[in-house]
Amino acid sequence: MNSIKRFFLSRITVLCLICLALAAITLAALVPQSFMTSPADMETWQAAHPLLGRWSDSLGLHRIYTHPGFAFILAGVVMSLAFSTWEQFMKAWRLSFARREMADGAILRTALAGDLATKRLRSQGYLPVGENAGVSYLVRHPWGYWGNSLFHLGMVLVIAASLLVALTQQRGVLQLGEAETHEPTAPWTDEEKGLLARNFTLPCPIRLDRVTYSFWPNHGVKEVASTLTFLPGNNVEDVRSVHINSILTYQGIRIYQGMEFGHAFYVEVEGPGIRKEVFQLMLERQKAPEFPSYNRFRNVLGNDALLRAKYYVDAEKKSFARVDPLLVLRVDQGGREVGQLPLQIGGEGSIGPYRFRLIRFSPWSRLIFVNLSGMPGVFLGFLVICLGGIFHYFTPPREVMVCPCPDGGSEIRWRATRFATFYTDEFAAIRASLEAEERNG
Amino acid sequence: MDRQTAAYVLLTWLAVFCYVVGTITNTVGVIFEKKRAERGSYGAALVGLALHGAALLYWWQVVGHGPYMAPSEVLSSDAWITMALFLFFLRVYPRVKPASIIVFPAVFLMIALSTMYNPGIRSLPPTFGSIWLVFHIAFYKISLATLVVALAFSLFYLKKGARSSAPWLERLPEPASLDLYAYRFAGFGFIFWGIAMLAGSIWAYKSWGRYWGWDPVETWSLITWLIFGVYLHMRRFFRLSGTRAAWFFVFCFVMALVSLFVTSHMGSSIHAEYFK
Repeated sequence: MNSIKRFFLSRITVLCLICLALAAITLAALVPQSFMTSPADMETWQAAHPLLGRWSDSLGLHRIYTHPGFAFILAGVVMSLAFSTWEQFMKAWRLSFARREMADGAILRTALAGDLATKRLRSQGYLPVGENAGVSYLVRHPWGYWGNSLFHLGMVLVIAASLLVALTQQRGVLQLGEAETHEPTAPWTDEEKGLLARNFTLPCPIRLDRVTYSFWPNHGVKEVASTLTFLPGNNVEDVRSVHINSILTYQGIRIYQGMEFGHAFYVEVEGPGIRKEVFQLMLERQKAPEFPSYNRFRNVLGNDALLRAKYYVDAEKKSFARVDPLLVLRVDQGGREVGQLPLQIGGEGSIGPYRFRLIRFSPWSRLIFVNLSGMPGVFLGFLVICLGGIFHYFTPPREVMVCPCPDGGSEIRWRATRFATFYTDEFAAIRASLEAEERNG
Repeated sequence: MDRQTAAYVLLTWLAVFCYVVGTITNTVGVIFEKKRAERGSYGAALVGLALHGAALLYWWQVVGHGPYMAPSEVLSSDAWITMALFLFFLRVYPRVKPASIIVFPAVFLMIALSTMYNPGIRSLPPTFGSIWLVFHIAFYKISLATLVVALAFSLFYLKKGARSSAPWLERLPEPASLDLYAYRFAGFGFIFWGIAMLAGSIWAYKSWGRYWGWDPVETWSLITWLIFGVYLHMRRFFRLSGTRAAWFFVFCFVMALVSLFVTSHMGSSIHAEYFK
């Protein structure tokens, strides 16, 4: 056990672990990671960097954070931090409560008796931490001893709690149009869950009643909100609202309003292999009234045909205040545009063999559902890290030993445990203060 | 240019003028050992700080959000915090006084750069309306200010170690002290950087339920923090000091600048909004 402890506490090991973590995170910053890159973008990157792409595939560089190698580094970091925390805790305990000698440090002699000198030092913020055979020990900012151990403990807490969150979290994203209901068993628009987490299902159906939004004069989004109805059964309905920065909690599930919203168009399509089917085409909001918003839909037409859509919320392209959308559909086949069709509500027309009719539209918004535990641990860890850092860097302990001399005076030994040069003025102040006390009797 | 923008620009230029006066008198005072000029430079800096603070507050009131939504606002507030914090440190740790010869021009440079960007009014995305965002940004700015002070001492160390050392450099503290000051302020910067990241993660959790998203700004910020961690561990465990430590710190400082001002151009995440 001792050799394992020594290994993890060795300064070479500590430095290597930090450097390995640093290298892994830097690599992950340079190579696109699959969890945050679309498959199409990943393919584009691999085509642009064939050599790196091959390495990425064979070494798993595109999934560093879920790679066993990274888990190995993280485990090493946790072990090292845990041992280091314990060692530093014991050291801080010894320094705070055990009486010890002080061989080094600046020395001054005073004619004041030990108790008087001690009293004077106490008035300058030095706290007594012990006495042994007439020798008094005082420390200014004794909590500074605990800085390092708290700092490292905080990191252990954050990593442990983050691991719990990563393994057990459930997160689902829904993009719902107004008046649409999501059944608990229906698939999410996007889902993420930890290795140990079960499939995320809502406790009851949920309906999006209304999406409200407003814009700044320069067309930036000012506010987005959704009114939701929870439908737990027995004709009981529970209507709630969720805004950005105003989280809704329902039966332990946190619901966030996403920034994304726009309009969903319900288009009836008829064509080769499609018999009058209604598709929902969701397009995100425009950035400005005169610039349309685009989206492409691969799974609507089949037959290798791609449906592209753009829309203006105001057909006259003048403002966001007027909602009279214009949807323009385009069909590409074999990489060539077959044709395009502008549609307003009730409008219909054809592109090649496909016939389209715009039935209705409604606003949609993105809702994020989160079910996780461990966040209090993460934030507690953050708090402990901050405390530790502040104690360590801002309050280095300054120790004083007051030894009575045979002539009735005393000898004062002083030292700062860290950054000593910074506190030499403090020693000068002690000297001046004791000399003033001597003069004043 | 409308009247509000004109008032903001005028106040900013008045502050620039005071900082220029402060920088010149400070340089003269430090290099030629003119105590009166050096004292005067702090007075000019204080007046500049007051005018600069008034400009920032006025602009805050005009645009309805803090100085963190456009390059002009970001650089200007970085300059203000660097100067304010330096003057504060000067009272608490009078030994940092020589750092003024780097801090003053750095502040002047930042505010001068800020005037090159259009101060146009940017609207605030709704997720930016959180007090945790204010803490998040404020601590990064405080961290930058402490790192500028640490950089000053690292550069002094390197300059003092050079063969043809200027006479004014002889009046600076001993190399060992310069080295220690750089170490200490790097430690402050590390802690404030850490607190800024933590405040950011609370903001993210409260805004969209994810306390860490690995976007380029977050990732490079963590990388920078780890590099500072390596620097501090090297100093503590391997007694890294002197020239090598000073160069290592200069590298850390460049990484910090990249994290703060370059990585926001790398992606389209929420962080991409502030410095484009």
